[in-house]
Amino acid sequence: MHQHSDGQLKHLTSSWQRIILHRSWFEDRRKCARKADFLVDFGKLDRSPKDRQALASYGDQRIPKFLAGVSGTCVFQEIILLRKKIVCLILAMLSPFSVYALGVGTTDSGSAWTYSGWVCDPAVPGYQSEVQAKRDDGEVLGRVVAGDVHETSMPSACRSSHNAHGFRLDIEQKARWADGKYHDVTLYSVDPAGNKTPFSTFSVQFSSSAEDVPSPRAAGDIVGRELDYKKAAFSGHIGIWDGAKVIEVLDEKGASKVYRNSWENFKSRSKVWNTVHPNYPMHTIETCWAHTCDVNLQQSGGLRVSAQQAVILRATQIYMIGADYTLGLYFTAAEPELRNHRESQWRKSAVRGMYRCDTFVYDAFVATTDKLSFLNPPRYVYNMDKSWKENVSSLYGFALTLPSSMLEKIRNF
Amino acid sequence: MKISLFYRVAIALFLANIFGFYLAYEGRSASEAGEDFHQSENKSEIGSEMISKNKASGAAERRTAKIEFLIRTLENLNSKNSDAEERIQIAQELSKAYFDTGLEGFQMKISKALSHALRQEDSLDVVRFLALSHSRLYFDENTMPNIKYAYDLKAISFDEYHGELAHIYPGAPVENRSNIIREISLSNNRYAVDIISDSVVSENDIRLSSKEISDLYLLLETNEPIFSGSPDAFGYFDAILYSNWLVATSRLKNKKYGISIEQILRDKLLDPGTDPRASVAFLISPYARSMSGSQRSALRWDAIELRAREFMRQNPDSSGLQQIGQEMLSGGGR
Repeated sequence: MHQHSDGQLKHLTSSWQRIILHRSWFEDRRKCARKADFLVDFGKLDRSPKDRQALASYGDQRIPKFLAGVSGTCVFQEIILLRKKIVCLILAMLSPFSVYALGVGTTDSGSAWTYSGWVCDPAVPGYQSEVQAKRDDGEVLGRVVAGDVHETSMPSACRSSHNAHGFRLDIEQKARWADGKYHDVTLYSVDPAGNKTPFSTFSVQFSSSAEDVPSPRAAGDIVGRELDYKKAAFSGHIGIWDGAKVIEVLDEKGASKVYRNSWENFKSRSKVWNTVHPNYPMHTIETCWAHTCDVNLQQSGGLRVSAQQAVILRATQIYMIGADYTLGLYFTAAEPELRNHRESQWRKSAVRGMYRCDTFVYDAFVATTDKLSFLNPPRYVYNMDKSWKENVSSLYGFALTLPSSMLEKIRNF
Repeated sequence: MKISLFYRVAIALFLANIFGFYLAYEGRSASEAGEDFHQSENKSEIGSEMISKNKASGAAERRTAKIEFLIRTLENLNSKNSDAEERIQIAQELSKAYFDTGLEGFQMKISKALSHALRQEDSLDVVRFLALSHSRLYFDENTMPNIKYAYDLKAISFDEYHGELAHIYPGAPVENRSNIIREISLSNNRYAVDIISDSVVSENDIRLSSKEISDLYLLLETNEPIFSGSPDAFGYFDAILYSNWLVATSRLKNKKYGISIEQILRDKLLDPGTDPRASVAFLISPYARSMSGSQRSALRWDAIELRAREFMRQNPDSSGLQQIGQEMLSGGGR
């Protein structure tokens, strides 16, 4: 935060700027003189009615209340900062791995290819920060949103109303990163304005060769592995590759039960099977892929896509609508909320889906055909080969179907 | 002898149908039929009129009788005399019946029955099911307390609670909306942001006050989605979420400040600080595909496409980026 003139502050109407302003105050918190400048500016702002209005527009959740009306003194601020520093210091001491943590986060574990912990941003309470891992040779290894519920209660310094600030960052095992050397890997918390704050550094050795399980190559590939339950490992678990992540239905406590996990996460759970590259047909499908649709497709902004894209769009739609896990073979197809532009009051609520991993994949494949699980919104399929529909229909039946057998059937498409 | 769960539920549903059929048959009283007969002057139409009325009335009464029966069954079931799965199935039938019956009174009855069952329930699985079923009905005075109750009991997760708030938001009365957005904003929940973005994109006619526009804009602007994974990773799923967010934020900013959507999109996508993958995601989105020639030139489409292509050229090993980007830019981008 640097010197601001009245004019500059008066025109800070963009919330981005407000966040930056506030963020900058936190960044400069150790420099009392600059903070005093900042506070003097606030003092000036408070003088005219226009400025008071501008100050009020900052919103009470973005600017701490103790800032309002404060003039050029930093004694009170120092007490608060000292308290925060003590909390941060205790957290840093308690963490076995963290070597640098300034009240924004810590790591539970770290190895060359995986890091986990939690991070929060006191400047934007509740904000689920991005975590970025950077190696000492300048390589950015990966990024993830810290949005998982973490068992630790967040410290008061976070000023957060929840503890969904946990993260697990799996690094893609690229050949060029597997150099067999020790590297310092620093984890950064990234705020809404893109400012990075380091909160943890590891000195770790990277393996000399990347793992030989190749990642899937195309969006729409179907990935499979043994079930991570020994007695039924053969039954398997399958998911859809979207080009960067595995979209899968898992029976875990969490979001909508539709997860996007990294390939590293997927293959770390159990033995991976050869990826299936379905021989997708060239026909196209037009429908609404959002979680809210109009009964009239024209109003829904229907999108015409290839079968390969339709599989992922349907998976995304189910994620939005929400779905639960069921161990049974019978599933409930997730249905979008319906509106009718002719009757603004009319609507039919979305129906949550209920899937097992294989019935989820099956439903995504059904979306490539004119076989309807629900009537609205309409789905138009152009130039579909009859054999494709038969192939998709053969995936699911009254006979016992397992994820492993479904994977093999798709392999033969 | 203990009857298996499957048979118990099947018997309950079978009885509900039989009971409904009986009431429908008996419900068509002689006086009603007689009145129809005497009021009609044209005797030749009497038969068909009565049959169609009978059918309609019978079907409606059968439905309402079934609902009454299911409500009573749900009231009488608890953890001591039934399995959780059994109670879930009855609740599921009631939720389905809610939209089948067009009768407001019965819809309220179903809502109350589900809410009452929720408060009496011991099993967290059933609480979860009841809360998530009820929240998808029309908004009423039980909607918010029910999901909060389930969340406080930890029957639904952090993401599920805020995601459900986002689902409720468009159908909630104006006076409740600001509270919903305030709560989502405090959480900054990413899943809720994904759903809100999708709503703003897909519901063109959603009517928002200027305060709501400001609140939603601030929420979305603070929570820009990221392309997770390595710097060259490009997944279609992330691309869909990002383009939804981008279009939704631009629409809200347009309404708030009056700046053209093309200018907002252009400034964001050509900003050196913006991830180049945003350009790829936008160009393959339905919104971009539907843009007219004049909109594209105002957007500086060529500059955005150049940026996307340059990023793809620099990352030849990213299969997701190459496949999705190239295929869509050549096939559907124009």
